[in-house]
Amino acid sequence: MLPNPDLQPWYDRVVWLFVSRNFKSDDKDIEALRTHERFGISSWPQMIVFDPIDDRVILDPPRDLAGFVRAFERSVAHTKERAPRAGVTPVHRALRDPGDRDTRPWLKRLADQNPIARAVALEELIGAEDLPAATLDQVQAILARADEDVVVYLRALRVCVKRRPVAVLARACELLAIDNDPLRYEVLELVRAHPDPALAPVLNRLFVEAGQGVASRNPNVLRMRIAPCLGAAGNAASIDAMAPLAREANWRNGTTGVVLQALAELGARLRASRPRVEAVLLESFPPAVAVTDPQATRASLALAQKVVDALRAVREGWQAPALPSEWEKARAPFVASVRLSVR
Amino acid sequence: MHAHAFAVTLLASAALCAGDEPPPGPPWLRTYAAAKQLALQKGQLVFVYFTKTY
Repeated sequence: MLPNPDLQPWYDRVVWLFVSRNFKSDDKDIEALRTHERFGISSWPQMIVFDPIDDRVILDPPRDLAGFVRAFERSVAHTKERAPRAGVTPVHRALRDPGDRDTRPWLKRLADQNPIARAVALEELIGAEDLPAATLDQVQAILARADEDVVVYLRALRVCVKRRPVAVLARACELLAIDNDPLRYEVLELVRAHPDPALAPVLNRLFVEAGQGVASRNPNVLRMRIAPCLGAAGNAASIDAMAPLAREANWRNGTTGVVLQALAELGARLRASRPRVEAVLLESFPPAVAVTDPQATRASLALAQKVVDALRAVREGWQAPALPSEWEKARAPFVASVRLSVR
Repeated sequence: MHAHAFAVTLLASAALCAGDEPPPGPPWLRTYAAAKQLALQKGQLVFVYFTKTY
């Protein structure tokens, strides 16, 4: 669609930005990563239109030409609602691509008015050894700035996760409320390593409302990152939060297995909630599939094995019935024998 | 039918546009800072196409 000559009238009506990750961690890839993280992108291909005044995403254009052009018309109408150059600030004017290697002291680099320069400094700090306390203090202070550029903020967070994890954990609740998935992923990884039951209500809400009440471009990935935290620090309400996804029993969704594992951990940890976890697991076997579909059969049997493993983690000493070799006719008797064995 | 057409569009889009080089046609910029400065100067919005090397 993008090479279509019918888009030519739009070549000078919007600014066109191409961002491609090559995963080589070279300068081009690092620049692309910054833009991905600025807008919370972690799947491809994606298209957005944003307002350069505040980086607000105005729309996600549809992928058919007619819808795409209509969306462009709507977005240009948006720019007419505000005065040209309205809101252009010294910070906007300071923005520029990084130049040659910056050799100024850390403190000066971290105070640069250009957010890209601050981001580059922090990227170097993440891998640096023996950082002075004053530098770390300055990095930590960034986490208290509500108006900081999100790319700078995320990199400051990464430094603090590595060097001052306690300071990050103390702010975990407010950090998880920031609508940026890459930022949330960093916090969730730390929370997983340092489980805190006080965060359970926040994590439950994030899991249930991802992509709806909780803005997320990757709700399924976000749930995949939250589930292990719920396994380690969730409460009884976490079972109900994860139950619908477990019951979907969708082997195509990688989050399903992660959720089963989290339910197993919850059941093993919360003795009083074991019957509830067991009930959910017994409803989470995948549906029958035709024996003529070997891929679906293999995947369904693998998922059924995960359900059995989760039940075994919850029921100490439980002897599971042997898994069948197909999942069409054998599913019903197998599930019935599992139910019988856990009575 | 719609889902099929959408999938074909997606596949075609990925096949045509994936990789290091942008799709031919539009005057693409390659960095956020350059795009934002130009958009601020012209009072325009920025369209971004995100892809990866497949």
